[in-house]
Amino acid sequence: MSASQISPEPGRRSGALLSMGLTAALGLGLLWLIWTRGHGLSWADKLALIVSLMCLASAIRIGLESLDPRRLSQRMSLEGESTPAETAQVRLQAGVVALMGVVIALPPLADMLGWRAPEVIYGVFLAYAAIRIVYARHVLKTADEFVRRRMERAALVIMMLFQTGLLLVAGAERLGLIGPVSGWDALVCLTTLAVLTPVFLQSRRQAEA
Amino acid sequence: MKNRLRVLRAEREWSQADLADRLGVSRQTVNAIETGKYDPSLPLAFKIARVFEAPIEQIFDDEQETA
Repeated sequence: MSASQISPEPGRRSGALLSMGLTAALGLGLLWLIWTRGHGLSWADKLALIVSLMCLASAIRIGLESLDPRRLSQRMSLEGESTPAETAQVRLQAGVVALMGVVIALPPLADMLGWRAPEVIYGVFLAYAAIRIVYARHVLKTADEFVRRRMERAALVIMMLFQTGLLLVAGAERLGLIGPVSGWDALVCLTTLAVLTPVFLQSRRQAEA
Repeated sequence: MKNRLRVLRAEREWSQADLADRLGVSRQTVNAIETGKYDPSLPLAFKIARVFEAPIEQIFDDEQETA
């Protein structure tokens, strides 16, 4: 019998503390890097690092929660304990989110740490793109109508916000009102929306419940 | 839309997992329907009606109509 089964509260608290501790360590490390070596970073690079931290923090939290089937079940608002299939699904999702956090941080990290291997880093981008395609196919194949509806809603909000932002920024750029905007800038903004929108929608659902 | 899914499930002593298996959906979907966070599609509503052997209108209550 695990400690969390004897008394779930201490286990939950230690898990939350561990999650916060790891996130704080990552955040402090990132702040130190930006402070000491991040002078040449663009706003998009700094935002990419923040998004990366959010992805990694979320993956750590979910990964730790998945160690306790009862806690994971509660997080998903379900009865009893999470099933092995549900746990595996959540861990897979956390893994993909963590990978996204690593990939989006690589270009600014490479600049800050002086890594001169763009081909290798681009190889990581290619590998991640392949993983994303396989993961998306798996999710679309296994998701039921409720999960699909949630994904569709999030995708619609992300597309609407990104398209509106792009309309305003690209229009201003074409008219010479602002400086050039790169594909990297757009990717970082889109990733930020992709990370924040589901969190916002979930908090709204919980508030409505 | 209100529904009697939780009551009907309790009457049969089914867990959310039992009902999810019978419907071919996830437990999250069953929970979302029970708590009124999600209105099922028409095919799923018919499936629920078949599983509980009851007409749809005895399971789901369109509040707008009765208001």
